[in-house]
Amino acid sequence: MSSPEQQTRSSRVVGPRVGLWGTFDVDNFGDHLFPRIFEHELSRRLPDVQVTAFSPLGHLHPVPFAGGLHVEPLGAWTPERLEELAQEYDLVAIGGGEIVHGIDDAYARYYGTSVDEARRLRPSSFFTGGLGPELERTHPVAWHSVGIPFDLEGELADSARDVLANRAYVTVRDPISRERLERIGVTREIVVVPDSAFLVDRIVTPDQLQRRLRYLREVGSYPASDRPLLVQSSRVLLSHVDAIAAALAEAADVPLVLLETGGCHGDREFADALQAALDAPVHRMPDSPTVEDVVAAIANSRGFVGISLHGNVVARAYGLPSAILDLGVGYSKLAGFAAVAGCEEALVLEPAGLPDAVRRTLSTRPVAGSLDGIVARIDDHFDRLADLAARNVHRRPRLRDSDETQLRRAFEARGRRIVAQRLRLGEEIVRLEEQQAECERKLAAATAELDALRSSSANRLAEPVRRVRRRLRRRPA
Amino acid sequence: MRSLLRFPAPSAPKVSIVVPTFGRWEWTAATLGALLANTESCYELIVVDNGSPDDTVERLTGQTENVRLVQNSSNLGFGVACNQGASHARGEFLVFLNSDVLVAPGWLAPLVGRGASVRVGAAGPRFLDPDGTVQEAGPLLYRGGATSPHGRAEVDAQGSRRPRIVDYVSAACLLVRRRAFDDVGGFDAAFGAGYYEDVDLCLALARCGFLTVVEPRSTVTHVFGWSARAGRDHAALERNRGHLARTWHDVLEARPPRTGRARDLLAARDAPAEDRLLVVDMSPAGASTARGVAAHCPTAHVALLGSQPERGHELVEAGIEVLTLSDETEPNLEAWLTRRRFHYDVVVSPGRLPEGIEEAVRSSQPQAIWIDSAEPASLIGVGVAVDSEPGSTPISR
Repeated sequence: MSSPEQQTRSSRVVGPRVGLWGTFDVDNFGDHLFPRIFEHELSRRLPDVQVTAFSPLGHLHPVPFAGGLHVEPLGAWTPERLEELAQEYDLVAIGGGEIVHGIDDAYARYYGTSVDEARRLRPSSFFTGGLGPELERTHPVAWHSVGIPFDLEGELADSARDVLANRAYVTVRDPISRERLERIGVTREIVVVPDSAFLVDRIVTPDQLQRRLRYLREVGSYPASDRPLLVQSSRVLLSHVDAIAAALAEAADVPLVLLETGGCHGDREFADALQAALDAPVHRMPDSPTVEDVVAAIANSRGFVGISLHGNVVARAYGLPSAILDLGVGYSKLAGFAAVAGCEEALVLEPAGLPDAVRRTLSTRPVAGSLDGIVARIDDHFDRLADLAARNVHRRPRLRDSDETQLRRAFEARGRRIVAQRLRLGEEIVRLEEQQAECERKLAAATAELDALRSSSANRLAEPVRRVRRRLRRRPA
Repeated sequence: MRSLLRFPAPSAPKVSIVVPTFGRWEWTAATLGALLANTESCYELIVVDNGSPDDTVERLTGQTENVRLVQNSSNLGFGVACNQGASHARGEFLVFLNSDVLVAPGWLAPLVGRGASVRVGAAGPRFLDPDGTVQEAGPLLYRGGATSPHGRAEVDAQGSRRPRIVDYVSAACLLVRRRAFDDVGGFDAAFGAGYYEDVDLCLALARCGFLTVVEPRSTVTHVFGWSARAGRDHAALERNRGHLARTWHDVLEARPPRTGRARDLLAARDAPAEDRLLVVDMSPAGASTARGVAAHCPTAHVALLGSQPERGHELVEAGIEVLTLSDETEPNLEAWLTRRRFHYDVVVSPGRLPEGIEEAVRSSQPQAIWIDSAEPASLIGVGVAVDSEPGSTPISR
């Protein structure tokens, strides 16, 4: 992602410039998958693309999960700010995550600020309203697989309907979100695109996973050899800790790892309570894991049991079973995910269903290829985003020819190979020269010895005898 | 009276400094004191204690403020401790710092400045011994994983003053871009308590397209008060070297053997650069030609063979290796060229050369492509990696 220093190069950037808006500055695992996957997928399609991530506070509210990603602050919503953002980017993409709602007050808790400050910033206006109907006539905006957690009402519904009428591309992450838009009268095309986190295995290599797994084992956060069951929840399920512990106790011979997906929702509270309720020892993930740690932990497990949407998505992305703990909370994102992933049976709506859910998770074998359809839909979506971005770059003058990253790397690799070959040849040449010099020394020594023999008095005295012998040999028999 | 080390607590630190500790509080206190006194304020400090057997933890808790302390009950090794510290970091850059390294005033800004280049994944300073002599300025990596410090060799008198691209920098003081660190998975725990984990990390960064650079304007003193040099675990060292050699066999095969010969030392020194360019220009414009080439080719090693350039030290500080011919030209030039036989990819020679010099250079560089112009188009035409709009670059300034 571009930093301010990179931004000063914007006049040199010839590829599309894309602004990605979302909540990449909160202490929550799932939100930090979006910008990485987005940049990765756009870069595959548009090698010269420059993607800049924006969030309400951005780098002014750094969190360890961000992994050093530079996120620009959206700052306070004003028409002038929208104008500024519109001029800088060929495409504005908004998402992913459940960010289309009007509850600015909720951001106060995420950022540790006052409600007044959250209302001043108005993040919801950015995420729902985008650049606004006027600017969006000439500056394309796309909703990138967003979630809509509640029905939209009143002014919010009216303004959403107005701006969506002409928005370049509207995608939501599940059918429930689409229905909510249809209910407020949105009639244009709304595409359901599964959460982009299903592509997580494209941004975390097997080597990275192994390195993080070795680290997790070394710090005692993961069993040394067995594949564990991963368990996670937040404070909303505190009242069900005992029921969850009882269900897990039936899987006594499987190691458990308690995972926290961030400080936003009180995962630690739940993990502490669950650990106390369980009789058997458990492993606890580090209290500040990286994104790669969480992915490695899930990817190497037997399955995931939890309320975290992205915990479930990552498990499914690696072909692993999961149990989606709703237990009456009624998060529509969980039902929506289950519908999109075709795993409604994994949704646990009541505590009574917990034992079966745990058994099913432990007994289900990983299924390869089960996500092919989902992945194809997400790929199509990124193709469309790339096309939108590329269409607008031609409005700007090109400064130089673009180069294919992969081709460049291939040439670099070939250059290194040539240098290595030259190094070996140089060593061989030096070795042969030394050998040649040694041979010449020996030859010189042998020649000198021969000359000395030839000029010796014994040799001179014997010459007449040798001459007679030569003549006798030449005479015919 | 114990003094309190009150560290800054910025809400949005640019740099997260991670210091692993294992006992020897007197060294840690000195390190932290130097850090506090000599570091500009936009950083956060994270200390990871690896189960210190003495009262280091109590001292850290009682004598420091605004330090995030991560405690391990046993010694998990340097790499793992660094990973733990990094996972708590909020900065865009990480700096790993040994608890027996004393940073000098102004040490951090040049490293962060190098990190500003998008291609730089890691940067390291010049290390000094306590007596002020150069300990190393960018170590060398050889075939099979052998290493050696660099910066004191007579064959490279400018070595300790010239910023350059290197294979790795010691993690005793190492700045890493946080994103790059996470992209490669951090330090590999397979290296156990220590040795070669920094080499492995930097090679992993290189595989992802990041460069590691040494920045001599940043200076630190490595006391080696308690760590490896005092009591090396040779078995662990050899085991880790073997692991490195197996993991990075293809990279290490492209390095020269460690023979002690000048030729192999220079080959190892310049191996990490993408191209090796020799500018041969005896005219007064030679320095300017070399600067132009270096600016356009930020990932190349550039050497200037010229007459006495004005302010030659500035060229060195800009990353250019300089040989100036004097009245003692003949023995000087011959030795210089012999050590660099077959070394350069391209020779840039814009004008006529004095008799004998062109022949000597051609004889030692039969493989090199000669071009008579330093313009980017000419360099691109012979396959040199060129940044046609020089700006913030890994090496040249």
